[in-house]
Amino acid sequence: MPGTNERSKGLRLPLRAKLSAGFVLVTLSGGLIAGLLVDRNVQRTTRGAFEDRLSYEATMLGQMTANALFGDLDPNDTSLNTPVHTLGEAVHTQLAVIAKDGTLVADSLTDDPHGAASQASAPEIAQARVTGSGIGVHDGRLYAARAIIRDGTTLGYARSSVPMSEVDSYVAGVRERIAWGSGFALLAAVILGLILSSRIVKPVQQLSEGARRVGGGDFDHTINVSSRDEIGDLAASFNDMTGSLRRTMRVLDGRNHDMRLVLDNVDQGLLTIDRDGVLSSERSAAVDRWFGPTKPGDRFVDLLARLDARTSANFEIMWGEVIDGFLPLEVNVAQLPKHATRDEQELELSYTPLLDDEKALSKMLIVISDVTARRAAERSEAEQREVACIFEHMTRDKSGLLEFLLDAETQVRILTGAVRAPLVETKRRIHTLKGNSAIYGMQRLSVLCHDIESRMEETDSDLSADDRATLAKAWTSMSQRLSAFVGDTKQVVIDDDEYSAVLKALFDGTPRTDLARMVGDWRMERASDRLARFGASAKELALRLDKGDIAIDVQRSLLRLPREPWAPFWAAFTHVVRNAVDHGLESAAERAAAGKLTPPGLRLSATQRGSDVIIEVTDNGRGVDWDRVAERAKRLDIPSATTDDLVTALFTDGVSTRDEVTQLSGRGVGLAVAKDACERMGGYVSVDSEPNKGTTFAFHVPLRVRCTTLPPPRDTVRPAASARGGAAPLSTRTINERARSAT
Amino acid sequence: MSTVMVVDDSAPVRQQVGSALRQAGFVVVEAHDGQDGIEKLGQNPGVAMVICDVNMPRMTGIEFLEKLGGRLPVIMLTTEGQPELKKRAKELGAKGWIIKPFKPELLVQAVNGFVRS
Repeated sequence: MPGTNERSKGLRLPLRAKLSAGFVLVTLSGGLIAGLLVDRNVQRTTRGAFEDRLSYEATMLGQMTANALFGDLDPNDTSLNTPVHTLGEAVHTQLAVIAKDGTLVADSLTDDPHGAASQASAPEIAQARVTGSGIGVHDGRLYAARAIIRDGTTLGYARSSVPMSEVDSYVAGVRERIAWGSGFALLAAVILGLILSSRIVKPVQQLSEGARRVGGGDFDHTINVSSRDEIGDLAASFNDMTGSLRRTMRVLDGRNHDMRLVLDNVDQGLLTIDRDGVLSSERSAAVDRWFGPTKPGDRFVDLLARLDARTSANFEIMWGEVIDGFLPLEVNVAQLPKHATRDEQELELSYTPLLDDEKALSKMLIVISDVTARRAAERSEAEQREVACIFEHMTRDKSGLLEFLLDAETQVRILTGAVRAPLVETKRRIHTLKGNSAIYGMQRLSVLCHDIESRMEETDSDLSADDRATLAKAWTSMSQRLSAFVGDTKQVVIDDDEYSAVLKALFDGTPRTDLARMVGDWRMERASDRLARFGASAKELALRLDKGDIAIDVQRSLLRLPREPWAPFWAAFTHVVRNAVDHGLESAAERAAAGKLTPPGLRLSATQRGSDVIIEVTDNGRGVDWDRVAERAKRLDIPSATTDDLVTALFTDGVSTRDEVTQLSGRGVGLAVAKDACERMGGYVSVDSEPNKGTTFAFHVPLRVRCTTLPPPRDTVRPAASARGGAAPLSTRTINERARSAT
Repeated sequence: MSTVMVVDDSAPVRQQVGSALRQAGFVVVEAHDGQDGIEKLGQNPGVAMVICDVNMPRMTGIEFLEKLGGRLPVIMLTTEGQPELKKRAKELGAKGWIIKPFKPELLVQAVNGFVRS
């Protein structure tokens, strides 16, 4: 407390000394004033007493003389000499009898009074002449005179006197006695003062000691002060107060104990930090358990650094923002890091600002939960769901899954390898892996790829070491789990149509080489099976994207394609299908607004035309917004003047006609990958699109990639059977026509 | 109505930020990189504050901040981490940052801290 500190400075005087000094001072000043008053009185009263005595003696002498006289006092009378001498010696006073004319008739100290000067002018005589009595001081003596009167006639004067020195020495004697008396009184006062102050101070000291001990936390201390005065009352009040404090402390201790029990046993880390980020002393035991021992003054950010340096760095930056307060508190608080991890442990952090009366941040309550188990459970649940999903895919389409695994294995190896490919290529690989893993139900891998892709987009840089490690780990755990139930891959499945075709060829006497090729082709994959898989995933996707239950029309054909050369193309083709659903097809509301009555649909076909295999995806959606493509092409600084330029632009990385990146497509990477794969096989792509009617992406691949030819083309192409898939016949015009009509 | 400029090379981000701010009653000017941002600032003297991405072609957010020289309040859009970048942006006068991905209402709240719609 600041008050205490201020008081402790400066000279310290004990209460006892103050009280004693007070007593002495009061006694001294009282004594002094009394002394001065007494002194003045002593002088006056002493002289008065002498005057009275002298007057009395003069009166007695006058009376005696008057009785002895028969007429006026004769100045030469000597008969009075002897009695005056005798009387004067008896009373130790100079007595004198003076004639009316002032002649000294008799004097107790002189044998020859007649030689003395006339006393007529002495003030006491002059006064007595007028009033009958007089007092005078002269020649170092005090005189009192009385007229000697008989029968109303003044006969002479009787006078008595003492030396002034006698008066003064009497006064001095009185003063000396007073001084001694005062000295003793003062001493007595000091002693009494000390005793009294000690009696006052002792209980005060006891109170002070008591207060000190209570202040030091000894609430059991009581003060034994029995004095029946205010100090006694104060001591009683003090004891009451400590008693009350004791009870309050007991209650608080109880609460603290309960609180400590809670804090020691709660599973969460509860702590508060001040504006400097320093931890308060009260926190739950979990904090110490997770972060290790702390000492006063430790900052939360340093604690966090023991666990997770990255989160700690993020926290430090954002805490600075919280304190700077440029952005609203809620915004900054919402951006404080919410997760910290160490090894397998995952912690979740939540923040509650504690505000002071001015609504400013005074402290932050941080609640930390260990979500390791919860996350693990969530992960395991997700894994199980994923495994079930993958298993379903496997039973439905084992060869497709195997092919994906093979392809993904290669992609992951390249993506996580030491040799770094150009950035654009890496981006494509991640994008492809994202799309395909989603198709085969590997949601977590897909989400991971999406996150990595987002980061790459943001920082425009290659995968970080962390990303590569995470991806490799995710893939390893995935493939390990899969290897358990992906068994034998060597089996050939043929369609009834194919069986019939070979049987017929046998009966028709078809050459053996052709027959051998037909049977050999069975090892290859039926393109329509492949397309059916894409169709199924497109249907699921459309539901997820709120495009409704779209109609899928997969054109049946006996066209079989070799797995290996076509694998990269199929991997990339995913994007084309997704693109068609996500970008091509409108939402139900949009379709209604555009007056489209037919349900949204997708047609997928693989046909042989001459020496080319043509893989087509047709949607009955909004059509390509070429103006938008042109606008983006300009932004990317690529040509956009001709329709060919626009097609090229549409297939260029970074051109997407959607203004929203979804987890599935929309980064403008997918189409480019597909075009690339197609061109690698010596093929080319074409786009037919009509506004509000739909779009067809066609991939033309030379037949040599097929390696083997098909049996009679009778069954290879079937007319678009709208009844089967439900999709309406699509009206298509070429891009060239559209461009012409637009320009 | 206050005008806010959004500088980001990603159209989806621009659209997300733009629509959130428009709904909150702001007028939004979009620019697709720092260079474009500086040009559009010249054409739109009424811009009251800027929301700016960091990694952009032609002119990055940091270069944009240098060019702007603290004339307008700027909130940066960044990803989590990147302490050096944030320090640099702060030195150049950025008022704060919004970490991507972000909730639109948070962004609106942040903008409201500087200018009123």
